[in-house]
Amino acid sequence: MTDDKLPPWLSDNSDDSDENDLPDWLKDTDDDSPKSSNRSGVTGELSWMQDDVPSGDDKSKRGRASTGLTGELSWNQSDVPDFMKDVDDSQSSAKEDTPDWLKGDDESDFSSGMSMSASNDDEDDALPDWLTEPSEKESGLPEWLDDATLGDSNPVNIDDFELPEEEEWQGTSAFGNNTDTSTWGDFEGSSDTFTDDEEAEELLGSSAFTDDSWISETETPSIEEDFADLFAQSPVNDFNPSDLPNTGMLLFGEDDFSNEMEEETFDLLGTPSDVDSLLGDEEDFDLFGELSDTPKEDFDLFGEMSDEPETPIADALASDEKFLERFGADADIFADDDVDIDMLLGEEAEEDDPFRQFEPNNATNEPVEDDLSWLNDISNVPFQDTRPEPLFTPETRAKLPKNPPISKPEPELDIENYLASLDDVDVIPSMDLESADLDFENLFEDDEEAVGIKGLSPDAPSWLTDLSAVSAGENSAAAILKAQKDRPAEELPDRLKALRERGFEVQSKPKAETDVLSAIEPTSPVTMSESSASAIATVTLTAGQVQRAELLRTIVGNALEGEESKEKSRRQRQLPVERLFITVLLLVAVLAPFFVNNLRIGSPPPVQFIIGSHQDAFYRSIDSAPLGAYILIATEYGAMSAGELDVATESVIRHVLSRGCTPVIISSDAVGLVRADNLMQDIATENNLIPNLDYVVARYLVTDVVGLRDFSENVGRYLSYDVDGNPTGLKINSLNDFSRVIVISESADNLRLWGEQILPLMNQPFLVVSSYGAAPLAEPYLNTRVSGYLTGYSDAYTYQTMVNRVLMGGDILIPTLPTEEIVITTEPPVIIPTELTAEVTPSAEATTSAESTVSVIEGTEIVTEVAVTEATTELPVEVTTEIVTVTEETPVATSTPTITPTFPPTFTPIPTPTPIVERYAVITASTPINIRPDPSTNNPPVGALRPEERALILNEVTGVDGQQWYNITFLSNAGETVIGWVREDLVRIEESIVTPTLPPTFTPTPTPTPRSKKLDIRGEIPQKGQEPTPEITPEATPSAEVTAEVTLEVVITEIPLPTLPNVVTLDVPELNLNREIVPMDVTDRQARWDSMALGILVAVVVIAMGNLFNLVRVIFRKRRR
Amino acid sequence: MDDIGLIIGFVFTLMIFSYLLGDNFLYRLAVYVFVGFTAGFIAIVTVESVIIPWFDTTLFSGEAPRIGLGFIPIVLALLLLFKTTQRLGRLGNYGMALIIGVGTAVALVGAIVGTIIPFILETAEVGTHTLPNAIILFVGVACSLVYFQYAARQKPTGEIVRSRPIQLFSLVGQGFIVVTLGAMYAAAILTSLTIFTDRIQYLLSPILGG
Repeated sequence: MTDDKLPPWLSDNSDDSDENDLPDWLKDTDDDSPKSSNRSGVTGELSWMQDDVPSGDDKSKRGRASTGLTGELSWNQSDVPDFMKDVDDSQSSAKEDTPDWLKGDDESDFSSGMSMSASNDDEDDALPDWLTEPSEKESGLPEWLDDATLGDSNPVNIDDFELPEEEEWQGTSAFGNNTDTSTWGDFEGSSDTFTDDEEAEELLGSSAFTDDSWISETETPSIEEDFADLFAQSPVNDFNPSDLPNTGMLLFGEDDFSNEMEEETFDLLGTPSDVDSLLGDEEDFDLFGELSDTPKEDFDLFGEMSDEPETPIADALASDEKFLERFGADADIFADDDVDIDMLLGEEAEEDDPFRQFEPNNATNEPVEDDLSWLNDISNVPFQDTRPEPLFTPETRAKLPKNPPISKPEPELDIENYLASLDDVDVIPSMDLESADLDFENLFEDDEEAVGIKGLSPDAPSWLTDLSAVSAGENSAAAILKAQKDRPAEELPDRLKALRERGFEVQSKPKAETDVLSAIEPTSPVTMSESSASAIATVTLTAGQVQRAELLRTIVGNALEGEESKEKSRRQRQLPVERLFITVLLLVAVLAPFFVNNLRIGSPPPVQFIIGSHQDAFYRSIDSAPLGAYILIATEYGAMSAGELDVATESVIRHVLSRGCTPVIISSDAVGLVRADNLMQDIATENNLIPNLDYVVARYLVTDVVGLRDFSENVGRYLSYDVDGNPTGLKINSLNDFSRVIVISESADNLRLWGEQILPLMNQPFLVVSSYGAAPLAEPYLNTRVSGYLTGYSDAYTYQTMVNRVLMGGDILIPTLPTEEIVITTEPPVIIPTELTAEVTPSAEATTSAESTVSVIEGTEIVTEVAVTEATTELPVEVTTEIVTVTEETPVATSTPTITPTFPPTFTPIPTPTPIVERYAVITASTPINIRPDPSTNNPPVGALRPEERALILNEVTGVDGQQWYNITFLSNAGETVIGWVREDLVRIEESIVTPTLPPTFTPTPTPTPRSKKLDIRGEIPQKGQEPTPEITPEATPSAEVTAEVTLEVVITEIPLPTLPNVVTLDVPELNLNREIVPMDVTDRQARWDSMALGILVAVVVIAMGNLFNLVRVIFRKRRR
Repeated sequence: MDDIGLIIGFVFTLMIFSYLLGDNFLYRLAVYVFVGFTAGFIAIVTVESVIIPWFDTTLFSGEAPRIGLGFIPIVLALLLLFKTTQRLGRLGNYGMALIIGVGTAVALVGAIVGTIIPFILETAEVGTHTLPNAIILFVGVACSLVYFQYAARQKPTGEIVRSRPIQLFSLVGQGFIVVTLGAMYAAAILTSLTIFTDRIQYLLSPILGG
């Protein structure tokens, strides 16, 4: 490339270049107006964008062509540099104007691979010569292009460039398969610049560059035409990249850079050796072959998208005359060699328009002449010889108007205007939801025809209409989904398979009209219909999806249901039917026994504990407590368990009090301590007890285990004050000062604490009363380490029965150990006749306790009841006595005492336990009879007796009705002692002789009768003649005078017979606490027990049935799976 | 006053029973009243039976050593109040340490001496039980302890399993535990029914005249 090739303004690289050497368009002007020809950029218009309708040749001056957003492109052909003008062989000036760098020169300089066709068709005026196929000598390439070399090593040879076959050019398009070449125009044999060059034809096919049709705009040129022409050309091997001009030369003329470019190798396409790698071999070269596998016939860039492809922008351009003038087929943009940028902007000659080659044809559908002759200019032009012609020569520059007129801008065809012009076209379908047929179910059903969008304009884009290609040509999401292929069910994991199967199992609910959107968005005017799953117009669900949606709705809770269902669900949530049913059933079972007396299931607890059981040990342990002992009672329960443990607590307290012991109450539960205090106060009020004397309610133990530990080591400090803060006066310093320790607890944990902290430090009996709930976990402690324990309400029930019986003075069925106190009644029974033989067989061996004393019983003494207490476990031994029969006249007592003893004067009768005759009333009626509270029928009965039942007769009186009434006593079925009256005609009397069993420790005090033998049960048997030593003085003295003459050697001294007392008071140690404890009120206890029994039965049945039902349901569910 | 107490107790009992219909305001009111009364009463009892006597014997005794001794728990109690603040909460750690440390020590000693050792001895003694009972007792205790032993090994496949004998013993222990839990559940039902019948009787006493 020589300097003379370069434009002057490019050839001179000195900074001090004369400004005059610069093209005018590069010169600074003072005009800085936005529309100055010298301004460019966002706010300005390029001068070549100004509207300027050139005069003269229509071909050259086509005025403006509006493109772009804001500006205009004004292709004034007169301003177009020569090299950009149409170069045509027929227009020699055009050819001369083409910069040499654009002229093709030597085709041999081109390496292979370049696929550009260059036709030497002289008739082609559209393309510059350098784009045409250069001939051997007359290469269309500019000189600069001819001169350009790509390196000496491997010059580019145009022959090596081959276009692929036409199929490869066109066949692999991704945009369609239709290829309609009918409108492409005839490039064969036309005045195309390429027609002279077969290779160019091969390169470009029917000639995108030899036929103006590809650049000429018909009224509605087809896109296929444009691109098909481009890709249909056969490769041209004549193109020599080395002929391409220097880039700088290309832009700025041939002279400016000639010096620098001389030695350089312009690498337009890379290194010569890289051209092959860049473009690949002929076999590999496939410009768009890889994009689509469709054959050529299928090539259609946008053929599938629309039958009538729309190119609005192209249409707009095609209708613009100015654009056509500038870039039409007739435009000669390479007419002038000197291409001045200003010439592009002004109203210059047509030959100055460099881009007129590219102007589309006008709207007259005039076939565009193939003006590609300019391509020939570069075909054989060595690259280094090519230099861009200067755009503007001084001569041409002078021609430029100083202030190019700014034409009146046409209405901008920008995007906004363009879109506004599309108002008439319903490209976007109107979504009329109200009138749309909304059907969810149809959308996703495979076999159903999807309902597409109705109201779609026929002018809608084809891509929109083609969405429904799968489903009978309708638009629907189902079509899209149908095109998709779901994952096969066999490939799903097991969990997803199960979920899928469950989804199919869900049955859809019947459709109902719902106003879904109105419920979601009240302001929405859209109303839904038909399917309950409908949401929007275009969405339809399959049956399976509806089912799944319903399943989700039931799980989450459907807010779109009606009001009734909402209320129903709310009611169900608030009032569960199962819970109510069970509650009502339980209530009925519990309430019924209180109103129905005979509604009893099962038997009540026994009236007495089994001997040897832990319950019996509990009772006996308390019952055998020494008089005046301190018993620690820990009430470790609160208000919640009071209903269960209050009975046992009260019974224990009363039992302890009745034994003459002092209960000391303590608790680590403040509420429990208060309840015990209240209970103690009630008992004290009933029995006139004195606090801190007869009983002590000690302080509250804090902090559970630490408090217990502290109490075990500082007992005296804790018991020095009571719950009210008053001093107690207790002299207790350790736990062993207590006779018994009784813990009444509701929790196993509390029992455990007492067992861990207190029990190891004690040597005294440790007794426990626990609730039902604490028993299972407290069992390890109770079975092995405590002396006795009671569990639950049943044991408390029996214990209360036993204690109440004792408190009421009744008998217990099983004889207990003798007590210290002997109670003797004043109603002596009938005695046996006086003919007695006395035999003394003392055989008693018994252990006695230091505290117990016995009294001597005279012969006339009748003891009806003897109660003894003894710590031993042996039963009292029967002592038989022998009565000496005196043959002498026995004086008969004339006194009125009921007892008339006959004693020989020389014989001291041994006082023996006189047999007791008891009278019992046996019911003779065939039906149960009532026992009245008084000897009349005016009052309601207090009890009942069944036929053949017996009751002990205590007394008898004559009633107001004139009949004999018996006062009887008996034990009811509940173990209660009942005292009442029964009429004589309903019973029969039975008598039985009962010999009272005296305890071995019973030592009766001998009577002062001189001739009576006294039996000292304590072991000394007075011999005959031995003066008895009276130990007790009976209160009653016999009033009978006994005189007898004894022939025996027994010396009998006359001793006035003592009057036998009716009541014998024993000489017992004075008790510290002489209390009479009032029995507990046990009314309605039976009803409560019955209600509890029935409630337990109902609860067990409900639980069992529920578990059975669940079990069956689980089994069936597993089978179903 | 007794009649008023009866009426109040009657009303509150009905309010508690209203829980059968679901959680409601009346039930909550009754629970809140009960909790409040209990807390207040406990505070009063503690003050009257613990704190005041303590003050009387220490601070108000007039003796310097006792006064000094009485100040120690007061100071520690005041330091505990600082636990409510974040910045000075560390000051309350001294009292907390004393409480937790002493309580843990006492409980630990009691558990060892009062529970573990005696139970071991009872389990080992055969003479106090019949042979079948002794066998059942030993097997039940041992298997229950094994059930709570979570030692396992990891197989090469990554699966973590216990050995076969351990699984067998744990299964037996699980059976014993299940029976125990069932017994506890039954006992809880019995206790509940007992208390329920007591309340029903209390409610019906004015009606039945008991």
